[in-house]
Amino acid sequence: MKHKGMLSVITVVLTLIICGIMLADYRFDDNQAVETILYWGTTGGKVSEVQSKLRQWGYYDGPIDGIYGAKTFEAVKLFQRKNGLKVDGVVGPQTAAAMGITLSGTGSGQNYQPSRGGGTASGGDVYLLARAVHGEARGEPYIGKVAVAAVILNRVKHPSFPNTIAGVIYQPGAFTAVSDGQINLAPDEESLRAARDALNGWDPTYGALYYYNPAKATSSWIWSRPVHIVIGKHRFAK
Amino acid sequence: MITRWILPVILAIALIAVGLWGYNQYQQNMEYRNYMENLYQKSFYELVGQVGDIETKLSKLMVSGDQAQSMIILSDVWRQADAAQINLGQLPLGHLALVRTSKFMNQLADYCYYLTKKTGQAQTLSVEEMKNIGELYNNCTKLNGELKVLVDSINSGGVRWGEIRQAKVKAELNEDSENVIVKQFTKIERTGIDYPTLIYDGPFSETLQQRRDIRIKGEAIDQKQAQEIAASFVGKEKVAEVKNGPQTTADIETWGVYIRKKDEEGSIFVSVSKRGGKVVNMISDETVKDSKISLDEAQRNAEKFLEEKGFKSMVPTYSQRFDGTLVINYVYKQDDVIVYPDLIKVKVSLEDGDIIGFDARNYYIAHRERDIEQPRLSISEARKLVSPNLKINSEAIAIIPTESGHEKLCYEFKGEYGGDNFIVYLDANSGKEVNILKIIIDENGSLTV
Repeated sequence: MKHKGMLSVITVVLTLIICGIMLADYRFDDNQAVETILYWGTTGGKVSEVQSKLRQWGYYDGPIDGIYGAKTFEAVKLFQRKNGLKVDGVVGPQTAAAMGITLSGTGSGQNYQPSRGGGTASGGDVYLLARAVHGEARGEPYIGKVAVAAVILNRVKHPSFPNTIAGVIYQPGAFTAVSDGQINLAPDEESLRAARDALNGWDPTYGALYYYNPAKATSSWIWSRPVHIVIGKHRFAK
Repeated sequence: MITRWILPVILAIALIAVGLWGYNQYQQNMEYRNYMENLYQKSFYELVGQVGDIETKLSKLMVSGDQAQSMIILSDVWRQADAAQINLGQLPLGHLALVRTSKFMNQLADYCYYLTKKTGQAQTLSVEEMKNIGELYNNCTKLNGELKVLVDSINSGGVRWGEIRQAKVKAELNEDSENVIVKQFTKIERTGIDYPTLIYDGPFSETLQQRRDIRIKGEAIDQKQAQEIAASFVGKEKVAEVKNGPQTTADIETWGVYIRKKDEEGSIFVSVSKRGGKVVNMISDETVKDSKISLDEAQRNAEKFLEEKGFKSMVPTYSQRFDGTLVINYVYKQDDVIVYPDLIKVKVSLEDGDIIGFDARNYYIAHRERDIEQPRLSISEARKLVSPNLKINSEAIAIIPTESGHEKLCYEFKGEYGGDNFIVYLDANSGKEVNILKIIIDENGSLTV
């Protein structure tokens, strides 16, 4: 089993390296696109871009229609005057640079590489959440596990708690499974499923922020919280 | 002769060995303790620095007359308050000693972020907002003062963070605590935090924390009726056993019902609203071993299911596959307008196509027939505002939820840039870009972030 795990890790790493090499080799060939300039009568997306920039900064109050007309012309001149550029009412490379736009190609993203399913560490979130569930709610019914995961996620959304899953789970003293190290046990399949259900929005506690085992809870404060639901050994409260 | 000596010698060696071992353990223990102490100290001193900095920045904001300058200051406060909140969460004080302090930091960060966005859109801060900033500043000054007291007593020695952890002053606020740190934070928590209720468009806005408008109306039902409703929701012919489950007394009050299906090991938990008798959610602990049906077939099943349960005009938005299950999000469509807040999630087993999960909580909170006004911008006007980088594939009109739980009428443009898929939302009245979502497609379906 261990070898199998190692093997798949190695495969993934190798695949990533190969992908990286291939992408590094890949060159965009349409780099030498012609520099265009925009002037009275020009139409198109670039003109819209200029118009929306000018409107944002208050130089332009006409419609953003992609047509370089009299209003756009005046606005460009005003912009050039204010920014110490040559006042000619034509958007050339210098004026464009001052506006923060590029005239050639599809803009600044020429070296953009599509993401490969990355972008989020949500896979890591599921696993961390599952570990917390496993440590805190082993032996509880399935919805009790979903409920524990939901409480952690409700805390992330609440201003009185840290704003990340890791921040909430590892807040000192927040969860006993973290204090005594049980969180480091490998989660079982059911905990993973429960974590996923909770991340997908299932919340049997209807917004609870706390849970406690009434047989063990020592804090008198916790008893004063309104209980939403009792599942297994845990009371879920807000 | 030798036998007389051998025992004491062995004992002496053993004693020395144990002594060395013990000393080694002690050393290690001290090392760990120092290490932890240093981490706590670092968090604390960073927090003190950040609060001090926030205080200065907020006061500068009071005298700044320039929008660009205000924006820089606001984004600085937002960043510092965010970091302060993280440091606060790492102190070994336990959550209860920090509920309000933590909330203050989060709301301060969130509020400044909101104001940063506002100034970014060339809007000036209102009188009300400046008043709020003033009060937040006063609060910060007070907090800063209390933290300074703490810094002094920590600097003069004798107080260690590790001691709090050991004393297990975890759950309870303890005013009589001997520890200066706990005492001081308790004081801050009890008397130091006092600022106006902040209502704005952000995830930590007070409106969102207090929202409790649940729209399920109708006759009250009893537990017996709830069992009936739950059983017919799952499908009476499939049900082997029905039991009472836990009930909720939260914003939606529900009866809980456990159902065991024929030929299944696991159980299904269904919660039915006490008023109106609607199934709000359903969770199954069924394990799905392998997938036998196609994703299309699963989706058809989900649609048939919704149709049967009386949900009309629901359209699928995105779906995700996990192991042997497919979770599909459905939203309500009113005429041509996609209404994202009215959300229902359906989870389908890919083994037999059964519906094994259902969640309509958002739907019941948000759903109603809306008066949708004609937007000021036409879709072709809006299209021109979209970045020319985005290659538009489809467009629609939609109502989307804002961060503070309100709704906004928007044009939705789905498109492509450099091989990635995005959805851009433009306010249908002002033309402002409201949100951009990136869609990550893999073999498991699409995920929006």
